[in-house]
Amino acid sequence: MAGYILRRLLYMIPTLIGMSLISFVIIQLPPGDFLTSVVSAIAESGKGLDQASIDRLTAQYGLDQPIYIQYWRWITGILLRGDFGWSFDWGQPVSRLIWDRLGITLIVSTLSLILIWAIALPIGIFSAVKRYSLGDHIFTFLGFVGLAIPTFILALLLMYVSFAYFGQNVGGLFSPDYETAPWSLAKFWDLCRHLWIPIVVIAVSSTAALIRVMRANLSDELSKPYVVTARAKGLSEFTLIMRYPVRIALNPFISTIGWVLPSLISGVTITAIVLNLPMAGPLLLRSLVSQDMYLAGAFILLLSALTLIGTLISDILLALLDPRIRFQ
Amino acid sequence: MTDGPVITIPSADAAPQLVPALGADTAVASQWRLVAWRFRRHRLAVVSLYLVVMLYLIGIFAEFLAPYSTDTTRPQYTYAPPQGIGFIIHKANGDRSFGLHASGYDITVDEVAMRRSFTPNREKVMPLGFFVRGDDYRFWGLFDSNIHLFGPTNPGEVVYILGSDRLGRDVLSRLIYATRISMSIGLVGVAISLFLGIFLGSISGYYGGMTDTLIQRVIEVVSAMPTIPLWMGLAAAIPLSWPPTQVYFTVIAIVSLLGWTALAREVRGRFFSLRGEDFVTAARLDGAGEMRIIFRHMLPSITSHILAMVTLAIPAMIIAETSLSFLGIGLKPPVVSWGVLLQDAQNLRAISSAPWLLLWPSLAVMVAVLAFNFLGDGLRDAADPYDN
Amino acid sequence: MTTDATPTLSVRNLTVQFALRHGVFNAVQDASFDLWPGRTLGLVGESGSGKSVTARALMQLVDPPGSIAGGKILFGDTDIAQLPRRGPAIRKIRGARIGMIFQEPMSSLSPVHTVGAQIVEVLRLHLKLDRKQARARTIELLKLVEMPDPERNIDRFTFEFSGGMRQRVMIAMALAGNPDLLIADEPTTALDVTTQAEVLDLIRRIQRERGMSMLLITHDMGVVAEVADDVAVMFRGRIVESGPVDQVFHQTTHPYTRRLLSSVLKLERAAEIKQQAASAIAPWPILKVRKIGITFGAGRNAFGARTTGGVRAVDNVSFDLMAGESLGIVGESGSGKTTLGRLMLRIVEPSAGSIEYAPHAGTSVDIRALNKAGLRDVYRQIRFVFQDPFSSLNPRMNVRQIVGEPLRINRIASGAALSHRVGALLDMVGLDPETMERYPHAFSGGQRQRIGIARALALDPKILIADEATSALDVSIRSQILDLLLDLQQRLCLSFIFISHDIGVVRYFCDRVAVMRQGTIVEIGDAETICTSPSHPYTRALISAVPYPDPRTPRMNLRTRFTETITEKASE
Repeated sequence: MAGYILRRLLYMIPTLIGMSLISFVIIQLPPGDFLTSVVSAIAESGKGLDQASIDRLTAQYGLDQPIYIQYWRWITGILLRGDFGWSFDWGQPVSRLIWDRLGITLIVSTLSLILIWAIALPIGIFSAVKRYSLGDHIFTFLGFVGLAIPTFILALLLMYVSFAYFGQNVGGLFSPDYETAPWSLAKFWDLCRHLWIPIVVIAVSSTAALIRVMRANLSDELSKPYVVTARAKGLSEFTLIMRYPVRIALNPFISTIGWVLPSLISGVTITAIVLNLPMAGPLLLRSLVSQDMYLAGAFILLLSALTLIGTLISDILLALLDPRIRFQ
Repeated sequence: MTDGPVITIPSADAAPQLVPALGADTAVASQWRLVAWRFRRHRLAVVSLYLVVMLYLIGIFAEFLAPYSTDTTRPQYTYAPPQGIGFIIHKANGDRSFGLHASGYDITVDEVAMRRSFTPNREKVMPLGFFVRGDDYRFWGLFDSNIHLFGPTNPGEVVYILGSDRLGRDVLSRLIYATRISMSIGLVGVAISLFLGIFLGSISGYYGGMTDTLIQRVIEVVSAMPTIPLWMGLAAAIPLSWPPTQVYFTVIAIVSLLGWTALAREVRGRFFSLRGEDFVTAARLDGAGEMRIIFRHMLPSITSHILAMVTLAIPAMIIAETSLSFLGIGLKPPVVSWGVLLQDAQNLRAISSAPWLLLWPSLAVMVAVLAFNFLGDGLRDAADPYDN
Repeated sequence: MTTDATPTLSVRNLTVQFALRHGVFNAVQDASFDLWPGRTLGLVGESGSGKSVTARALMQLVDPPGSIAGGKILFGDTDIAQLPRRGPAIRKIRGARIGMIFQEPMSSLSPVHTVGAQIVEVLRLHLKLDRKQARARTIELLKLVEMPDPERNIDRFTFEFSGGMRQRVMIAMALAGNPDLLIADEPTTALDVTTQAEVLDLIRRIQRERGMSMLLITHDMGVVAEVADDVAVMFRGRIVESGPVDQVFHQTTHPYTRRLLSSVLKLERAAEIKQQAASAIAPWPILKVRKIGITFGAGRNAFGARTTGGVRAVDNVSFDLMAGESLGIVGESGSGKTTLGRLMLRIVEPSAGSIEYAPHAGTSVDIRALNKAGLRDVYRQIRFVFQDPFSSLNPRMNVRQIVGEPLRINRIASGAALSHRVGALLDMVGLDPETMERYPHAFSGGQRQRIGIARALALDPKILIADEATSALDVSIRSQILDLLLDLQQRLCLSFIFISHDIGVVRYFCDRVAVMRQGTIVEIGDAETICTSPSHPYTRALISAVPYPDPRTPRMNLRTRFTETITEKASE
């Protein structure tokens, strides 16, 4: 088991390297010499940096060097010093700007994932066991509809509904009164009132996909011989379904984290932009538009790394659940 | 076949009993015929097929179908609510008559708040008709005309069936033109993804070994990264100075660059499982070269699945373009796509004062995505007609 | 027939229907039989006869769209046919009073649970034991089914065991609730013949000890003859003959039973056609295989160095195939016979040895040394017939394309000439040439196998390698296909390498036989000798373990056993 985890960790390293390469390439894409665009960005934002500071940054990040040197400086900076670069737009080190944003992104993503599982699992099981029943058709249809609405449109629609019918202004994470207030039950309740929209929005589209995965896999398993054996032993229908085919169909279900998590984080990103939540999304957009490159690169890299960690966790869960994997 | 003793029992070598005696049709039915038969049983998928075809037709005939052109601005009609279509005209004396029309409004201007308000007035009847004359247009750059399928019978009248936006432009017309752009992006984008996906997936699955491992890793890295940040990153790099057509194709390229991975995985998986099949070995023993094995023996087993996957990949492309344009980093005005239309509905103030700006483009996106999903699902179920 | 007054279970006029889209299909019609304590009823039939459905109906395990449409299943004072398919009433019977063993132990046991857990489940459910008691009892049960080291193996997972061991676990599981009746649905069909003998012995012994009734479902007449006390023969859903085993075998009344018995007995001796054959030319070794071998799994470790280990699937095998003869290669699972077949055409590349092909006496060429062009040439002269008639034909090509493919690729014919040749080939294998526009899904298993043979013959080959060509077919079809092959051999002067696990088929068809075990040939010689009085102890054990379809002359019940300590190499 420990060997399995170790192997998965080692396997992650080249993937991370690949991700960092892609992130770096993306932030280098905007045309023009990096150095001059940096200088013009500084001039534009009016954060007047004197020549000395510019020279210092140039030296530190190798802005006048070829690309691979810049990449090397960037990566070593991250790995050795936790230094993600300098934000020209905000005039601060990037690390100061990203962590709490990423933290909230992580929290919202995790909560959404838990919600998705909690909804998709029972509905998926029901749909597979009672295939083609009325309930199955309804859920399938609802699922499809959920799949069809892009996350940001759903966010907009919910925002509208919440405003028009409940008189709530749901932008941001807190209402204006609670913004700076100390933590209290009321503030927590306010947070919940704002948080439900992004979580629901994100959950809706992925739930449909997971329900279909569970339904398809469980349907396959239900027609397998070991289910008949279990029935022949005299087990009740519910017990035998839970203990055997569901248990086995859980494997592909859990391994869906591999692609659910990236799409979750994507969804979080764009929903946060629409609803103006202090998460990674809005800051990322702004940094991309204003070509604040190190900030953008840090976000892209870290969001990807987050997904990878999620996949690792799902692999571990999978190994715990399925002895066949451990024995490979 | 048997020349043993005369027995009254038919040979037990008859076709399997549980399947009703196969008719002559099924016996000579090729795989595509079987796929089509199975597909037709999914009524929802068939309806979706018609819907998708209709959407593409709308896109093709956009100039003809839209009552107005996309850039006719009318400053005195900004944020006009939808007038809808009515069938029964109520006259002032209580009479009713049948006629296609839209009800006009009374416009009052509030000088103090600097706002216009529109109150519907059923007395103002604006008759609508078919094949009316309206704005000039050039059909696909080929010929000029000004006949529109549908519109006000008095060319000078202004009818906003689905409302107008902040510059007084007709939402319905813009929606129709946007259909052309958004649906075509899905199609072209998926064609590129298809090519990349099949090419890399086949190589990977057929040759295995080092090539496979390498391609697999690349796929893993790309698909492990959240797509929206990647798209955002790529789209934001598009220089603002580029002409709209170039931007259009670049957006397609971006969107398809990330979409091919799922296709490649599917193709690879199928190639792998086909490699071990006896009939592939038999073909090799027949003397077939690698190319013939791939194209004549393996690919036909995959094409129906690929078709299903492709159909299911199109909605992702449509949503991608819509999201990017909505954020302002994809297509930009004067190009009109659903995402660009949604840009006008970006904040709460706009939505609350003119909800139709959000509603109709959203509906269009949803209908397109739903239709493709149902269609693809039906195709996927029908894709393997031999698994009975 | 017995002194007991009441049968354990009585079936009267059982009818099981399946509601299909185009109508109703009667899988079982009007079946009646009795099961007595201490006696075994063998329910025998070919595929599609309805025997499995009958077994499942006895425990209300028939899934929709199937349902019991009529009749009674009297078990004690309950009519099982009247019980609802789900509910406490039937659950009290399943596992507790009736136990069931299924065919494929790998897929019939849970892949993610330990064997102990699956047995304990039954004990806690029906006998209401607590955890400790259940565990102790499970270990006892495992000892009863002769599983070695039960204290440790109880916590092992299903996939860690061999087929025979898994079946023993199934038996233990079925017996855990102390049932009065044991239903065994093809319990040994997926097992090797020697393992089959052991498992059948075990089941019978336990049955006798406990005085249980047993319903044994099988397609194998030999198993029925040697294991069952009573027999019921099913055909197309009806029981066409039933009675004590000796009566059914020796005073057969129904023509179907007679036909079934005759097909089975046919394979107990060499084919009649063969006995008349005389070769015109002096035979020469058309294929000389020397020291061929392959090792799977030995590879390179992470640093590129060669690692040891790996499985020697075929190890230092040598034999000759004489022109015009049929050489049988027989062995159990894991013997390497299938791999050997694939090695000879380099479908899998051998790691050692040579394969000399001599199309005429005097000339020869080493297949291993050939380049691609040379290999393709050889492929025209040595052809392959596959085992699975379903996966060996491309479902997306029609028969004309399938059989015509080798002709097209080798540019021998095209267009109308191609169709003509395909027609002739189909005719030769006993199929109607008019059917060449049809797709494989329109044909039965036996017919598909004929198509495969036609494809193999398309290039006028000299050698045919048949890999389990008849194993997927019903026994009555088997001899038809074998007769076809014999006929073709005489007409076309073919040589055969016939790979099979079925001794009867090999005895019927082949001139010489090689017996393989764990990658090596342990014995090779004349078919009649090998199949009736072999010298090697393994062969003796193998041959004697095959059940004989006559209750008066048992073979399996009198078999010898082969123990690991004897390792004699075959003489060539």
